[in-house]
Amino acid sequence: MEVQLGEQVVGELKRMNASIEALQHSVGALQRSQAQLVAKFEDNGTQSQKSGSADGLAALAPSDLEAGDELIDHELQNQLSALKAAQKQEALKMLSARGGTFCKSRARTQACCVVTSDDQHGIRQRRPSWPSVPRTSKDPKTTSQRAESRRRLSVRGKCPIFMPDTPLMRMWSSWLTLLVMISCVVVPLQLGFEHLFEDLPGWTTFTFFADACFLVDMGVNFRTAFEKEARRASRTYLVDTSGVRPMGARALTWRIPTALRGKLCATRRPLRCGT
Amino acid sequence: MRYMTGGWFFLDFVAAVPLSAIFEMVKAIEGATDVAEGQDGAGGLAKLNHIPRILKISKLLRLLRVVKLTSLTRRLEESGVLKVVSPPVLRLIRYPFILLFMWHWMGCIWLFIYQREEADGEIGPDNFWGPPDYWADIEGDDFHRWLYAIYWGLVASGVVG
Repeated sequence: MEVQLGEQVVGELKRMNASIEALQHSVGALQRSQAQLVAKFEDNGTQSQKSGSADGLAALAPSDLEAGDELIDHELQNQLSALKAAQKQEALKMLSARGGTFCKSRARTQACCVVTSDDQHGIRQRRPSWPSVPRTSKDPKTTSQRAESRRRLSVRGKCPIFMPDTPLMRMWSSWLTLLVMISCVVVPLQLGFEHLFEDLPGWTTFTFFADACFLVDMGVNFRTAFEKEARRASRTYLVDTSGVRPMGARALTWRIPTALRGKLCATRRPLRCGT
Repeated sequence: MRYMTGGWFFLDFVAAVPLSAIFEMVKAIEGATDVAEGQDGAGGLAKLNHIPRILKISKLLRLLRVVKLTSLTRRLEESGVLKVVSPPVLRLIRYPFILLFMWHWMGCIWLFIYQREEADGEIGPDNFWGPPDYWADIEGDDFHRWLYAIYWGLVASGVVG
């Protein structure tokens, strides 16, 4: 207990030191910019006195004032970004201390995602991310992102679990939608205008292919994750990634409601971070 | 398990049965049997004569796939694919398409039933529920027949025909 308190005190001190350093840095920058402005003002005043004008401030060009404002804004931005970086580092430390991982694979969304280490119970906890924004080329995958992608694909056992919001599943859904639309148009036409489809080249192959796609989709549906329970208030919800009924001792907990099961099985409350 | 207990599995299974393959297989078996028996396909195996027709009608089971369309569009909306179109605009596009599909289905199925009855010789002066007299003028033009079928569907669904 004492050790934990000591660690907390040291952490607080470090954070305060970092804040003080950042503030000192910004104050120094502000002083420098102020000195530059004063020097410029004095120069302009001297020049105006020489030229016969009494007001030095009036002689100061508007562009100089704007430059001063930009300097101040720049310093404030620097200070803000430094504070944000410090907060992020702190959040990462807390996450690693609680056994979680910071997941950037969902960096295409505005909110970050936290995956707890409670997968032994077949439960994953994550932020709702639908709808998501596509990843850009400026957002390369890191090692943790790749690990998260692998984890998302294969959570338990050898058979993969498909997440509905992955690009592959989006493409698959789009393709099936197209096939359904084609079927809706063509199937009645096949009945009413049978002679049109008798000698159509490749039509039989396409029909077989469409049937095969729908059969494959039946298999995919068995392994697709679904929204088990939504808790919109906390913006967190559970996704049952097991997809099938558990076996053995784990089956005993299956009848317990998901929220209660998560509380019973989890050793620590999952941590949320981000905006 | 949720997929099976939710009822979607049964619908998907019925809609995804490879009827084309079954139809081709039945045709091949029927043809082979007729050749083996030395008949030209008109007589023998009378029991199987109705199977192709039943299979043709059972192609309508594929229309059950349209039920899947709702879940698919919901999945696409959730994943953000359809986010480029605003929901009111999407609804505005969706309803005319639904009506058009409905008229298309009704017209084509009506045409199918008319053709079956005509082939069986059941269409006559006493049974004139089929197309009007000028139908003969557009007999070869499939596009105009399709347009008339859609018109029939529109009129029938509007209860004005």
